[in-house]
Amino acid sequence: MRRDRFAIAGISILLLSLANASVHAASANAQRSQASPPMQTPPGQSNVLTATVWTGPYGNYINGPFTHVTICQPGTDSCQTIGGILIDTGSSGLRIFNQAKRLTLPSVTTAKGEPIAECVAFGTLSTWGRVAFADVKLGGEPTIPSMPIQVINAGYGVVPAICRSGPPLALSPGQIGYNGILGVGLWGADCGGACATLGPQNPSMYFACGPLGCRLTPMAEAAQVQNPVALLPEDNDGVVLKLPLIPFLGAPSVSGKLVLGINTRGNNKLGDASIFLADDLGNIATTFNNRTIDGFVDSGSNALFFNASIPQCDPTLAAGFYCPSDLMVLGAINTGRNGSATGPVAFSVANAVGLAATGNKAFYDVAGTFGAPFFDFGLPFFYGRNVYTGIDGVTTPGAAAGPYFAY
Amino acid sequence: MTRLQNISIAVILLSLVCARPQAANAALGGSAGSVASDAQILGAVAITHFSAAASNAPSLNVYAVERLTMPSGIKVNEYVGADGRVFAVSWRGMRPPDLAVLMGAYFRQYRDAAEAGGLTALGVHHASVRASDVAVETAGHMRDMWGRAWLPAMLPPAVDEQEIR
Repeated sequence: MRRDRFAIAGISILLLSLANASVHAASANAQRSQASPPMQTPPGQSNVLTATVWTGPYGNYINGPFTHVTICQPGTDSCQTIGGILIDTGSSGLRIFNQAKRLTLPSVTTAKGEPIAECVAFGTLSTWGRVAFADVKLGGEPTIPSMPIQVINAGYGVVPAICRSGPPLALSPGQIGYNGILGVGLWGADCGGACATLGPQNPSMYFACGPLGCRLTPMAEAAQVQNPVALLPEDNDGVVLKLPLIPFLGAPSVSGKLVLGINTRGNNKLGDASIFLADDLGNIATTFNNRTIDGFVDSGSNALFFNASIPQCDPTLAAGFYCPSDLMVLGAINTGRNGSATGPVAFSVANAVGLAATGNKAFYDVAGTFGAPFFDFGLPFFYGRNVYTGIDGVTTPGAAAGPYFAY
Repeated sequence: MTRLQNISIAVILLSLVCARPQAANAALGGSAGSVASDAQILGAVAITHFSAAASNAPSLNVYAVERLTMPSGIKVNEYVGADGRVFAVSWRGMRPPDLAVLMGAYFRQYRDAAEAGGLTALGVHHASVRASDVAVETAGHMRDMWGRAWLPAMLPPAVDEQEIR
C-alpha cells in the first residue's frame, strides 16, 4: 500500500511536543480540570472506566489515553473526582499532582512518624513527592480503603540528590499534560522486593523525611505505592484496554474503555487472545529485522519506539520521530517467556510531522527511534485491539498467572 | 551492527570500601581516566573492557567500551575514542544511575533542554532530547530503565550513533 507524501510546507507550529502550549496551559489547570468528558458507569459495567484519547486537560497531548479516578480522605465522604489521568500500563501505582488535588491526605510514615516520600524515574521525567493514604474508587468498583498513592510535588521537602540527577522532575500538570498517572501495569507494588531492605540492590526510591532532610528508607512491598487494580476485591488480576480502529490520518479523539479484571466477567474475557508471559523485568521477546530484542506493551508511550533505518524527522520539529516520505508497513514477531505464545505483529509508520500537522490527537502509525535493544509497543499498538495486562503473581481464571501481556 | 571484540574481559574488583567520593570528574567528554573516577563515585563493583570496531569500518578498532556494573545491577557503558576521550555513555537498570556524575557539565544542558522542550513530547516512557552539545535518550518501563547520552561532535568517524546502546 502506498500513500502520497504529506504536504508539510508552511506549517510553523506543528510540534508533537507543543512546548509553548504547555507553558500557557499551566496557569489554567485548576479551571480546566473539569473540561474532560464526563464519567459514566453503565449499569452492570461497574468494572469499566472510560478511556478517552484526546488532547488531555491541557490541550497538548498526542496519543494519551485518559480516564477519571475518585479519591477520598480515608474513611470519609470527602471525595474528589479527578479527570485527565493518564492510563499507563507501563508503570504501577496511582500518582496525582498536588496541584490537581483539593483533599488533605494523611502521609504514609515510618514507625517514628516521619513522612515517606518517593522518587520514581520514568523514561521522560521523574516524579517526587510524599506517599499518602487515600480511599480510591475506580469506576463502579467497591472503594479501595486507605491505599498508598504518590502525591507528585517537586516542592516537597528537600529533594534528595539522586532524585535531582535523573530525568527532570515533573513540576505541574500543565507542564506535563495530565493531572496524574493511573499505573495499571504488570506489578502490584511499584518497586517490589528491591526496595524492601536497604542494601546494594536498593534502587533509591523511598525516603523518610525528617528535620535533617530525606534519607533512604526500606519500604515493605505492601506499603509501597500500589497498582490499585491489584487491591480490588474482585477483578484484581489485570486490565483490558479496548480502543477502536482509527483512520490513517488519525482522529481528534477516540472513545474506548479500560475494563478491570481479566476473565472475571463477561466484558473482560480473554477470548482468543494469546498470552505472552513476561520475564522478571517485564519484557517479552520481539524479533525485528532478524534480531531478537526485549519488547514491552505500554499505553503510556505515545508512539511505537524501535530502532530501524527509517528517515528521522527534523529534530527541531519532532526529535527522535520517524518521518518516512511514504507510509511503511512493517512486521515483527513477539514471543512470550517459556514459549508461552508466539506470533507476528504488523504495524505502520507514517510521517510524524505530517500526522501532527493534521491537528488530530490519536494516531496508529506514529513511531520513533529507540537506540536500545528494545521494542516499545506504545499506544498505536492498542488501536483496534483488546490489550490485556496481567498482574504479577495473580492468576487469571482459566488462564495463566501474570506478569503477562495478551492480545 | 556493533562488533564487540572481546579482547580481554578483565574484571577488576575495585576495593572502594574506604574510598571517599570526590568532586564529579565527568566521564562524558572527559579523559579515559575519568571512567575510574566515575566507577568510584558510582560505587561500581566491576569494570569490563571491550574493544569495538565501527560497523562502517570494521578493520579499525576505533573505540573501547568500559562497562561498569553497580551493586544495584545497573550497568553503565562508557565509550572511549582513540583520542582517549569519552564520547558516549549508556545505562540500563532498575533506575538510571547518577546522570549528574555520568554527564558532568552536560547534565545541566540536558535538563534545561528537556524542560524547555516540553515533557509531553513522547509520553511518560520515552524522551529524545537534543541540546546544543549533547544528545540524550531516556526510556523504559517500571523496573527496567535505559538511556544513553552522546556528544555528536565527538563521535569518531565511521561510528554510527546506533552503536551506542
